[in-house]
Amino acid sequence: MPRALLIVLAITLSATARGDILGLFGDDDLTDGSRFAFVPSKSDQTIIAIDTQDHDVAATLEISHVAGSVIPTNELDLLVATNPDAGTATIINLYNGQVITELDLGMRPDVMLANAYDRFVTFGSKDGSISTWDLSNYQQVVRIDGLSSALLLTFSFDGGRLFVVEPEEKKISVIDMAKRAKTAEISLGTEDNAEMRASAISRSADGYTGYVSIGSEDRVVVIDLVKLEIKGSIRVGAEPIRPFSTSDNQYVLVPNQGDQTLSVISSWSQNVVATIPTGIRAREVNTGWLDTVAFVMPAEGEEMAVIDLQDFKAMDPISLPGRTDDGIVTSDSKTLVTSVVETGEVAVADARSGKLVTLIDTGTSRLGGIEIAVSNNVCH
Amino acid sequence: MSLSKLSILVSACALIVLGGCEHEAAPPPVADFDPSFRLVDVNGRAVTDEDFDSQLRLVFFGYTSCPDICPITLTNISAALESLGEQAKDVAVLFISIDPKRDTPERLRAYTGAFHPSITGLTGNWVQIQAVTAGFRTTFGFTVRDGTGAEQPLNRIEYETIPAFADYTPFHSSQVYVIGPDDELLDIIGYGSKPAQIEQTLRSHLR
Repeated sequence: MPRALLIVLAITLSATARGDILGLFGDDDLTDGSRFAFVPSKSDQTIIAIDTQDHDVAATLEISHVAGSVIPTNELDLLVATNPDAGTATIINLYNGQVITELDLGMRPDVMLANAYDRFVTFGSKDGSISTWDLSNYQQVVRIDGLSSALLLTFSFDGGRLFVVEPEEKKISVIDMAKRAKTAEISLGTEDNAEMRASAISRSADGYTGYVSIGSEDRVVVIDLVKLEIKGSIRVGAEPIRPFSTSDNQYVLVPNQGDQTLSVISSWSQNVVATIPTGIRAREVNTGWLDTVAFVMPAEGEEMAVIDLQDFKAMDPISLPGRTDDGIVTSDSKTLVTSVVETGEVAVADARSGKLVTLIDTGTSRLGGIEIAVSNNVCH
Repeated sequence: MSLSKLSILVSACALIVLGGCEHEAAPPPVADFDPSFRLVDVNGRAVTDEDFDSQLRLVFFGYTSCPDICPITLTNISAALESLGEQAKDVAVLFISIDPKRDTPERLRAYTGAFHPSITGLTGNWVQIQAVTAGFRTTFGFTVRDGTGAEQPLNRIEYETIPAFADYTPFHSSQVYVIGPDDELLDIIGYGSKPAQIEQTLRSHLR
C-alpha cells in the first residue's frame, strides 16, 4: 500500500473516531478515571485526552497556555495543568472540559504530585518551595519555603507525610502535612564528598519501606518510612535512577543508566537477585500483567526495553518513532501507554505480549508526560 | 521516513483497521499464580475452589468496611450480572475478605447480600487468607493510627494480636481476577471498570 494512502487512512480513521466516540462532551464525558489519560501538548495550548480502551483521541482541551505537566483527579473529576512560567495552575472540569479557575501559586511549579486521596495536589520548585492546594475549595493549605530544592517528592502511604529528597544537602526532609511544617530529616549518608545525584523515594506497596537511588554512588538506600531511619544500602549497577517497587511487593526494579542494565532487588532479602541487560539508557520503569513484565522507558533513542520478570530475561524490544516520556499502566495491568515526545504520538503496548499495539496520532507535534487518575492496581 | 517508522505506521494502521474484529489471544501464564483455596462461606461451611469449578469465577479481595473501592466494584459487578440475564448463573462472584478479624461469616452475608444475591462472601482463618492472597499474587495490609493520629503500617504479625475494635484500616489490591473452569487466569478487570465493560469481558469468556 502506498505510504501516502496509509497516512490518509490513519488520519481519516483517527479523525472519525475522535468526533464520534464522545461527541466531544455530549452524553459522555472524561470523568472515567480508569479510562481516560491526559497528555499536554508542548507545541500548542492544548491537552489531549486519550481513550485507553479504544486507543484513540477522545477530546482535545484548549487552555490559555502550554501546560508544563498535568494531573487528573478521580475523586473530584478535575484536571490540573501547570503553567511554570506564570507560576500558576489551571483547573479544568472534566465533565465539560471548561476551565474553572486558575491558582496563583506564588512559585514556579516545576513538578506536581497528587496525594493518596487525590483531593490535594502539591507543587514543588527547583528553588526549594512547596505549595499544597485543596482542590475541593482551591485554597492553599501548606506552604514550605527554604528547602535546597523540591523536585524529588513522594507522599507517604496515607498522604500524611511528604518526603523531599534534597541531593544538594544529601538528606531527605520530612514534611508533616497536618502540622504544615518540616518535622524531621533523614541523612542519606555518603561515601564521598562529591556532588550527589539522587532520585525521589519509591515506596514499597505496603508503605513500610522507601528506596532512593544514589546515581553518583551506584547504590540504593533503603529507608524505614515508619521510624524515618536508614535501614541499609544496596550496591546496584552504574548510575541508577529512580527505583520502582512492584505492586505485588516482591521486587524493587532499578534501571541503571551507566551500564544499561536493570537491577532486580528482592523485597524480602534486600539483595540483588538479577541484573538484566536492557541495552538502553532508561528514564523510568513500569510493570504490567501482574508484575510479570517490565517496560523500561528510554531516556534517549527509539527502543523501549521489555523484560520478562518471571525468567529475568530481556524480550524483544519495542521500536518506536522516538524517545518516550514516562509511561502509565491501566488499572487492569494489561496496557502501557506513553507519549512519544517528538512525534506527537501516543504509543500503546500490550503488557501480556510485550508488543506494541498501536500509535495514536494526537494531532500535535510535541508532547509532554501522560497521566491517568486510576492506574495499575491501586490499593486502598 | 525511516523504514522502522514506516513499519510501525503500517502495523498501527493494520491494527486500526482490524480493531473491530480483533480477538484477544490467551494471556501468557503467570508462573506462580495459584487460584486454589480453602475458605469459609457466609454460612460457616468450608469451601474450596473446586466448589465453583463449573462456573467462570470473578475473584475480588476486599473488606466489608471498605469505603470506596469495594462498594464501587461490587456495585458495578452486580449491574453487569443483571445485564447478563440468564447467563449470570454461569458466573461465580467471590468476594474474599482480607480482614477476617472483623469480617465474620454473618457480617459478610449481610454485606454481599446488599449488592447481589449471586455474590459469595468468603473468609477464613489467618493462614488461609494469607495462602489465598499469595496464590493470587494480590497485595494487602493494614495501617493503624499512632498516638499523634498519623497512620502507620501494621504488619501481619501485629494484625494477629490487635483487637478487632482497634483503629486499624486495611488496604488491598483493587483488581478483579477472571478465572476459568480449569483454574486458568483468563483476564483481569481493573478498578473503575464500568458495568458495560465488565459485562463485555464476562461475555467474551462465557462459553
